[in-house]
Amino acid sequence: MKTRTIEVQQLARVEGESSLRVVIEEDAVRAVQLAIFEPPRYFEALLQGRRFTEAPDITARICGICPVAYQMSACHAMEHAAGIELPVHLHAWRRLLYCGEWIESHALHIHMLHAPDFFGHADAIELAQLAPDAVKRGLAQKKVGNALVALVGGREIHPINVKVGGFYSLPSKQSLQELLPQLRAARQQAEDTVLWVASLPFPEYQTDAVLVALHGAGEYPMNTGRIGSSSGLDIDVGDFAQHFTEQQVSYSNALQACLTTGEAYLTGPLARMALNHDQLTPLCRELAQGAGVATGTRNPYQSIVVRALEVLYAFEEAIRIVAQLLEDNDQQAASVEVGLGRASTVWATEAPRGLLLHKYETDAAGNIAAATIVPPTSQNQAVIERDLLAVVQRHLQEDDASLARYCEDVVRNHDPCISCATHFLDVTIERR
Amino acid sequence: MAALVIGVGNSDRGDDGAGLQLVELLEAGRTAATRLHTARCQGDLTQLLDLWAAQDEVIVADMITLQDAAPGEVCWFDVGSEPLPYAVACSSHSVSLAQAIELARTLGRMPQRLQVVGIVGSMTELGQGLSAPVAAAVRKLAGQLLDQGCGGGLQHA
Repeated sequence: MKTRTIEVQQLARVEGESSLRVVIEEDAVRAVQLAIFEPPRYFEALLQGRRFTEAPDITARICGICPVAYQMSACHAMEHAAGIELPVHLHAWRRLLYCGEWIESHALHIHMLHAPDFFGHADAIELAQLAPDAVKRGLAQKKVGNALVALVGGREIHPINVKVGGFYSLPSKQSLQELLPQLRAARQQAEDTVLWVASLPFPEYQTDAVLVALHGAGEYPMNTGRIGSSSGLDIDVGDFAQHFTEQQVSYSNALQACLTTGEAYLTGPLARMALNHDQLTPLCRELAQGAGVATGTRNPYQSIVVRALEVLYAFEEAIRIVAQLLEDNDQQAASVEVGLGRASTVWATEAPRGLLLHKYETDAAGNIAAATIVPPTSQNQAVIERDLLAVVQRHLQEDDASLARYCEDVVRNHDPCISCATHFLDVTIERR
Repeated sequence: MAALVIGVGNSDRGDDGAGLQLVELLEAGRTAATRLHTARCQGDLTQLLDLWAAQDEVIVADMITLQDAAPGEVCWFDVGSEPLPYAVACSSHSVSLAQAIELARTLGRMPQRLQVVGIVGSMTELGQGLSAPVAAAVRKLAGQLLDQGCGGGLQHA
């Protein structure tokens, strides 16, 4: 039996590291295994015995690209357990912080990691030669996103101003006022980016995965919402375990998630857009219409367009929130007191890459007895493998180097933050 | 002419914190006469282009892996006109230090003089501090830079 083995030692242009193995027998793909070497539940173990107030700072260390997402899921989970409802202005500050993270994460992925795939597999350096203005635009947007996270979160990486109950302090109105011109300028750049990526050549491919995202909060989801799906699911976040399950696969330390029906599902920008496109701003909806993704798209290659729209939305939302906060009373409290004893809680927020779920159990003293963290990348793993199988089957006649590149493209469509779950990628393709 | 030393890395991952520890030691040891500025870059290396904007002389310090080199070995690279050698691995992140430098070169955003000082490391497990040889190398390097920083014009060892 004819066997092919293709090996890619290190997947380029993804955050973190993982490995991929493809087995081809004669003219059929027999197996695709995306192996994510998750530090085996390191952080979940680390949280045990810690005060509930420490969850945001500890979980933020899981990832350097999306620490805000971890802090938000942790804070909301503990506040929910304590029966605390944050005042409106603190919700606004948290949403503003999340806007900053969406901007910097998406801008990095769009321009440094994903866009090069559409230019003949150029790397980011070659893309800077081919389209310098586009790359400069992306870096400029990212810089403003970083500035927003630093202003509200206290630091660009692993923010230090976030706490259960709110923030340690709130930025001054002057600092908000100073940021406003940067936000407006970057918003225009984000609009230009949408038009640029909408013109890229997209391979034809449709995913039939169930799309899962937060929805129903009356806004494009970030910190709050119910869990919805393209197949009609509409549940409280607390009911996650009744509809979703995680399973161990032999070739990976990271658990794979699926619906209890056995279906694989996809979280992230495609899912958010599909379930919440009517919550976008009029400008975003207009540009989405022009880009052919008005009600979303099931083509993962077009995720770059959806991310660009979400960057634009985040800038528009940030400007709106800043204007609102500038109107607010100067004496607003930075936080509310939160006390916690024995409790069990679940919360999910929308990290840039998708649904990020935190589940905690605390003891009578308010210490964490157990923690479960379900990152978006591990939830998307099964769908990524399905996409890989389909793409490899489609291009079987190509040589091994080309096949490996197609595989890398597929993985990058989904912007895996493998650092959240892992630390390495190399690709092995076996042809038998 | 004051130089900017940028520490790159992750202090939660063993020897990957070498660059950041160097900056800590420089900040603790400098005096009013020390002509050194410092900055940190953690995770997103595209930030380097903003950190070194309008700077004349920049040193970027980071943990590296280098074949046949022992942990604690210190290597200097003048990347003003040449890229970092391919054999030197500096990052497990989406945009590596080498790529960030070439991105800056392509976009015309290089400082006047740019050097990379790589501290060869071996251990990058989560939750670990610097290994003994790397910690010693960082202390020695900090002392050298502080001495040179008082004399005007940094020269690599």
